[in-house]
Amino acid sequence: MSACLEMTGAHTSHGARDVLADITLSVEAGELVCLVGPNGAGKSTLLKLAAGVLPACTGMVCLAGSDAAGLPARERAHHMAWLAQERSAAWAMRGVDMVALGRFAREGRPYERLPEKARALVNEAIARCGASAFAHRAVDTLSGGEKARIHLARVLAAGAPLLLLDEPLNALDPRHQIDVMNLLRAEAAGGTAIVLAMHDLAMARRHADRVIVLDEGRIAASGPPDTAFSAAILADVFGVQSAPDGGFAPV
Amino acid sequence: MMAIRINLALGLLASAAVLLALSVNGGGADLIALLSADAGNDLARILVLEIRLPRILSAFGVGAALGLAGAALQGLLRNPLADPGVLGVSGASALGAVIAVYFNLAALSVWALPGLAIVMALGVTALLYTLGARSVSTTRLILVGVGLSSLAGSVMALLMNLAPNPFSLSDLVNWLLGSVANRSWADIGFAAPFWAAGVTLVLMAAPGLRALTLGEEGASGLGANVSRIRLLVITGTALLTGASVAVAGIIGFVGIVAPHVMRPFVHHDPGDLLVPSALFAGTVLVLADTAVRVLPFAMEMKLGVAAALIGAPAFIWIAARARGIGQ
Repeated sequence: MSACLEMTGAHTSHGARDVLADITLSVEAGELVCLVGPNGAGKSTLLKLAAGVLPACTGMVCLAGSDAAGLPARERAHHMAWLAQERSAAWAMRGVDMVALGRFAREGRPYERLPEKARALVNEAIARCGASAFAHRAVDTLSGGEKARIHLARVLAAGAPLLLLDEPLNALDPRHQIDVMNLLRAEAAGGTAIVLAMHDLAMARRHADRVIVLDEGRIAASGPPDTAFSAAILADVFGVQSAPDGGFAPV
Repeated sequence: MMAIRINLALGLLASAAVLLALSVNGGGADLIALLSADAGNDLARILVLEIRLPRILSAFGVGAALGLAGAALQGLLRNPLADPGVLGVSGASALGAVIAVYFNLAALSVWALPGLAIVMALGVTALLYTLGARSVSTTRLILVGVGLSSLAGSVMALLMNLAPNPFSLSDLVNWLLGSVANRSWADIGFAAPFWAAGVTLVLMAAPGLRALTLGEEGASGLGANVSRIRLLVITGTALLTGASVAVAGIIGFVGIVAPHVMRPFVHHDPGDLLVPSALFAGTVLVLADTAVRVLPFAMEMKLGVAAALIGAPAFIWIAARARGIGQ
């Protein structure tokens, strides 16, 4: 079986600046991969390439073995669900309709008109994200953390084999951050491949199967957390070192 | 099934408005005479079926087309102030009509005026599409539209400035003020196929408009073909607007106000908003036209003037309150 996501020599530039250079990676079913790196390292761009919303200048991005650039948008969405960092909604739709959008590539209807089975999936995703209490409210009345959980539920509701999540822990309080990481661990245990861009190195070290460290558009390290977070990488890329308490301290 | 219930209620409201419009100014008696199948009553038949009904249906068709076009453009551009008027489509279309009047092309063929109005609407939307399609920003599309609108306005002003005699000037002015007085079945017949095509194209884009709530990249990530949605909405609204201007001249603001009023009734869903906006805008124009007929002015007030008098303050109110204009 082919990998859920495979990038070969992917390269993209913005004007004269290389945003991503020579990215080669592969993510298998059931793997939880944390993508870390300083601001501007190219984490979001990498996820956009994988989601197919941004074309690679050169190189190849494959979703479940087929070239993402050649896939129609709808079919691409069957292979992956992408959570953008930017989560503003143009209209004050209800949370449930927002989560129903996760089913767009299959149903494309608002919550009330979803078929029974799809609506059950939407409800389940909302419940798993702890969003049931406020899912029927308009999204513009929700707090940042509540919005984040609605959007995470939207991505889960897609039922895609690959989740591409751009900083899903943003705006969440510590308790909900841990809940979300446990939720994602459970998803991965069920066979979903997950690529997660994040800033919290301690969280990445604790939960990831594999860590990919991006630095100025290149992969600086990739491997199990203990290998990827070598003293040299921590110092060079992040300017920190492991602290005795399990956290990180400035070099 | 809230969306269906809303549409049913609005359909009933529209029918009631049409009945009311048929009944005012002594029309009720003619209607009864017609329905009682009084064979000798040709006058009632002509008054109701050949004069009042085409006028009322023109008002409804123009309103519904503009309401639908406004709702679709707002969904596409994710901006509550978008409508064919703001984007310059109405202006360009009216310029086409004015050119037909000014150069007396209308005397050559009855198709010249409506044809030019529709061609100009399509031309401007094609231009908007080529200028805007390459950029991700919908703000740019709106700004280009504002520029095109001013350009069309200034060319029309030039033609009025140079009008050779007061008669052609008053012709041009009548056109710009917008009216459905004295419209016949032939006027509706010419617009109907374009309206039908426009409605079909725009409704095909409805699910895509829902996805566009998350922005163009977000919609693309959900599996929406964004350039297809854009093509459907832009072509559809061009046909709707061009045909409406061909029937009634420039009627502003219904395309902005109707979606704004309807939005809370459909949970702000941009796909479900389309049909209610059309029905509501059609009803509003039928009622406004009825009011224009009833008002005791020496000269009949033009429908476009009435629409602007109500619509412009509403537009200002929406603009002052809307969040995130031009995001």
